[in-house]
Amino acid sequence: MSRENKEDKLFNEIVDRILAGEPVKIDSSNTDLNSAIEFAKKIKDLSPSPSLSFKANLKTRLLQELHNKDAKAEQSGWFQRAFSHRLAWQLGTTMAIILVALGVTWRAGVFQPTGKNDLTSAPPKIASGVTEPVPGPTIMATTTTAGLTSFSGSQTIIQVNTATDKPDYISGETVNIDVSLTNESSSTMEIQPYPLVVTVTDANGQIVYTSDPGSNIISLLPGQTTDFKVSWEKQINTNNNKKAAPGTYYLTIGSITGDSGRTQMNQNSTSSFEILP
Amino acid sequence: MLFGFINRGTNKITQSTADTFADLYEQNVSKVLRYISYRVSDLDTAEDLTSVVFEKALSKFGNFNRERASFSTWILSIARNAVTDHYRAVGKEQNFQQDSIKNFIPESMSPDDGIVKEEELHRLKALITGLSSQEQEIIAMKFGGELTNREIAKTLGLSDSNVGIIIYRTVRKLRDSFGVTL
Repeated sequence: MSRENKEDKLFNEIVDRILAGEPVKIDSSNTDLNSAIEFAKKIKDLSPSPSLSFKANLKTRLLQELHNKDAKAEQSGWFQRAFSHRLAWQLGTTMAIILVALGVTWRAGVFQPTGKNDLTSAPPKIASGVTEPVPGPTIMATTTTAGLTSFSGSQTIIQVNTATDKPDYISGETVNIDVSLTNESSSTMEIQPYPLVVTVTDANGQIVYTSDPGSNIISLLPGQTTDFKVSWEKQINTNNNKKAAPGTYYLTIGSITGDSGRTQMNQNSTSSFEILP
Repeated sequence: MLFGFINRGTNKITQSTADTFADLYEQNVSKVLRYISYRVSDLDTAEDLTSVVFEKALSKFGNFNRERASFSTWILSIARNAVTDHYRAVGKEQNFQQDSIKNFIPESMSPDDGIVKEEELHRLKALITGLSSQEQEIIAMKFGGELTNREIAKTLGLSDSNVGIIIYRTVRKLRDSFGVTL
């Protein structure tokens, strides 16, 4: 190492100590190096610091902004919170059942008018030779509120990408699966359980493998991605303990619901692989 | 589309986030102000830009990824951009004026000490403006932002050893121009 390299290395080590506030004793006989170190001390001593009032005022303002942001998020989230509440779901489901029941009953003609308000009276006589069609019940359009619809609409909140380490495998070869989750919302999302359950199904939709659910809870910040790996060891079909037959297999990702509603995930379409004959 | 079942998580900025940001603020506000003060002429501008930097950091705090950089490095990157934007807005680099230096001297300092420090600070800042932009940047990051050579190197796309050499040579250059006899 050249003399200058040694000097600058020593100089930089000493400057780091000066900036850290450590006492520095200069033993070198190199006057150039010594005076450079003294000047570095001077630069540090001349460095300005913010006044206490500036620091305090700015901190107060920033924390107030943080609080305002929080309050705004709270206000805009009331609707979602109202409808993620268990009681609201129960009421909604009950109303849906009632509407369906009314619709079915209406269709059955229970509420059709019968002239003298007598449900047992016979239909009016029709002049012979003339037939008129008996009016049937009016079909009422029914709507049902599907309990599974996410109130977040069609916006993807969690993007799920799955990939296998190969597009096709020989029989009995372990399939390694990589799953990544990206939080595409503007809110922190908690995922439970983690890792998620990974299911492998055959072309007929039969489940041949299900991974064990994890026991962790993780938080994903907006824009953050996490990933985990699962291995389907030796392609053993968990239904019959035999190797899975050749064919196309599909990956599905899901997890066990918590109490607080459901969030829409979007899984990439390329989540299948082949087992070769 | 698949409908999964995931806990919604909270929209709220929790108390822990506010505490975390407050701690990081306390640890870094002096470094940010000092870094900016090496790049601008007067205290008012330095304080304004420091406020802008922390407001931007607050708005982007949710996206801050600790695995990619330390908070100090991250916020000093924001400070660099803020200074660049400032100079773009004012159209030219400002010359240091004697009066503007006074504001950097703490009120608690005695008048005589204050005069000496004011004079020396004026000379130092004037010399720093005479450096190349890379040298200015490195001196400001080192003595203002208190970044390590490695962090400076990563920010500027240089090697660690290169940064170390530049710091050593620049300090000696400043020393020689300052007229210090030690």
